[in-house]
Amino acid sequence: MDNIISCKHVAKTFETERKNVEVIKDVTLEVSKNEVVVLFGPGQCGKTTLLNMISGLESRTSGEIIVNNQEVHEPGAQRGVVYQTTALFPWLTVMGNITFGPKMKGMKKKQREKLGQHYIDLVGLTSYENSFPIQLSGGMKQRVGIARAYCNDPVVLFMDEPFGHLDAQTRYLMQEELMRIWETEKKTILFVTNNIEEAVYLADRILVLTNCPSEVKAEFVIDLPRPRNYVDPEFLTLRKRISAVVDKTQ
Amino acid sequence: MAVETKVQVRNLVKKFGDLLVLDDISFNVAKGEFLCVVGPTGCGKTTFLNTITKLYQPTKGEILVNNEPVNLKKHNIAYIFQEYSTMPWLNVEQNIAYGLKIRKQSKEEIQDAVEEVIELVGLKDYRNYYPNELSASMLQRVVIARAFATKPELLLMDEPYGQLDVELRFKLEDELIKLWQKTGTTVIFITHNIEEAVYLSEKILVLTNKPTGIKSEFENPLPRPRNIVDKEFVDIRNHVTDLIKWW
Repeated sequence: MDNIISCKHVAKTFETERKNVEVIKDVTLEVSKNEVVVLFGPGQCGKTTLLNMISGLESRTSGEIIVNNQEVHEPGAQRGVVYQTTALFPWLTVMGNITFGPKMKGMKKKQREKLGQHYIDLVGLTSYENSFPIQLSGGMKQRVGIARAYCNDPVVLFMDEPFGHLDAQTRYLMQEELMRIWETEKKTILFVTNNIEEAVYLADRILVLTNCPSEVKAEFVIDLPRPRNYVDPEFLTLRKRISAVVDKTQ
Repeated sequence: MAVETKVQVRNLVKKFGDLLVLDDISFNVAKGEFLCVVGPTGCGKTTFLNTITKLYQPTKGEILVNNEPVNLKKHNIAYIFQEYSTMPWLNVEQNIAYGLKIRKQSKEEIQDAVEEVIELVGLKDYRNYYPNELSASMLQRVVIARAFATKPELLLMDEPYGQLDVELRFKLEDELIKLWQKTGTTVIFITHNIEEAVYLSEKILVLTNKPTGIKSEFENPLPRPRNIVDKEFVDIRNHVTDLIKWW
C-alpha cells in the first residue's frame, strides 16, 4: 500500500462552556503518494479544521489519522503547510524565509543556501533572494510560502486556500505555476478551496464535503489530461456537475 | 430608435504626481446598459471608477451624466465597494433605509422602498439583525439593497463579489441581473474575473495596462439566462482573455 494519508472515522467537536459545536461528523479518506486531492465545500463547512487535524495542528475528538505510517498527534516537519495569509516572517529575506526549516534542523549555511537557491529558482523568484516580504506582491509571497514548504522536503504538502486572497488573474497564474512545480518535483498535496474552477484545474481527485457537521458527500476522480484548459467543454461540464452536488448539500 | 446616453466620458486623464494612470479615456454608456470593465491586474480599474465619482479629481477631461458635468448632489449615483460597507450600529432594515433617510424622504416612502428591495434580496427574515450576525454574502446583499433602495440612475460596482465563495457569487450575480432588469438602472461593474464579465454584461470595456487606455469595446450579444458551457459564451470569454492575458 502506498497510502500516504489514511483517516478513519475522524470527528471533531469544539467544546466550550456554553455549547458544543460538532464540526466534523465522520470523515474517512485516503490519499496515495504524489496524488493531488482537493477538499471542496461551502464556506465554513470545516475544511480547514479537517486539514489542520491531518497536519497535526488541531486535535481530534475521535478517529484515527495516519500519515506516512505514523499516527498524527502533533505538528511535524514531515507535514508542510502553506497558509492563505502566507504567514511569512517579515524580518527575514526571501532566502531567510525559505531556509528557515533547514536552519532549525541544524543544516550548515552553505548547504541550506544551496538548497534554498534550488527552490527559489523552481518557484521563479530568482534575483529576489534578498528582498523582504513587504517588497513582494501577493503572488510572489505565495511563491515564497510554497518554496518554504518544499524546502523542508515534507511527505505531504497541506495547502489551505493559498490563492484565496489573490485576484482572479493572478490566481490563474499561480494555479499554472503550482502545477508546473508539482510536475517538476512531485509531492503529495492536500489542497483546500471553495473555488470550483481551481479544484477541477488542480485535482486528481475532489472530495466534496457537506455543510457542518461535515462528512464526505461525494468523490470525483478528475482524469482530464494536464495541462488543463479552463474553457475546455469537458472541464466546464465537470465543473457544473460538481457545483450541482454542492448546491444540494447547502 | 436613438439610444439615450447616460454617461459620457471625454478625454479623461488622471495623474498622481508624475505617474500617468489614466491616459485619455473616452466612452459612452447608454441608459439602462450593464457595462463591465475588465483589465489586467493593477491597470487602474479602481482609479478609473473613483475618478468617475469624483472621489479623485480628474487631471484633465470631463464626465457628463445626462449631458451635464457629473454632480453628486444632483445625480443619484450609488457606489458598491469590494469591502462590505455596512454600518455596524444599524440593523439590516436601518442600513437599507439609510440612503433614503439622508435624502429626507417621508417615512412611508422609506418603508415602501425598503420593503420592496428587502424582499428582492431575500433578507426579509433578517430585518432586525445587525451586521456582525450576518455572513459575508448577506452583508453584500444588504449593501446592494441599500444601493437599489435609492433608485440610483447610475450604479457603480467595484469588484463586489471578489471575496465571496464561488457558489454564492453565482447566486448574487443572478440576483443582481434580476434587480437590474426590474429597475432599469445603468450599471458600471468592474471585475478581474472574465467569466463574470461575460456572464453579466451587455457591453464590455477592456482596458490596457498602465497608463490605462481602452483596448477594446464591444457589445455582448448573448441571450439570457446565460450558460458558461455554451460555445458562444466560451468564444467571448476566450476573446477577452486574449486581449488582457499577461499571466
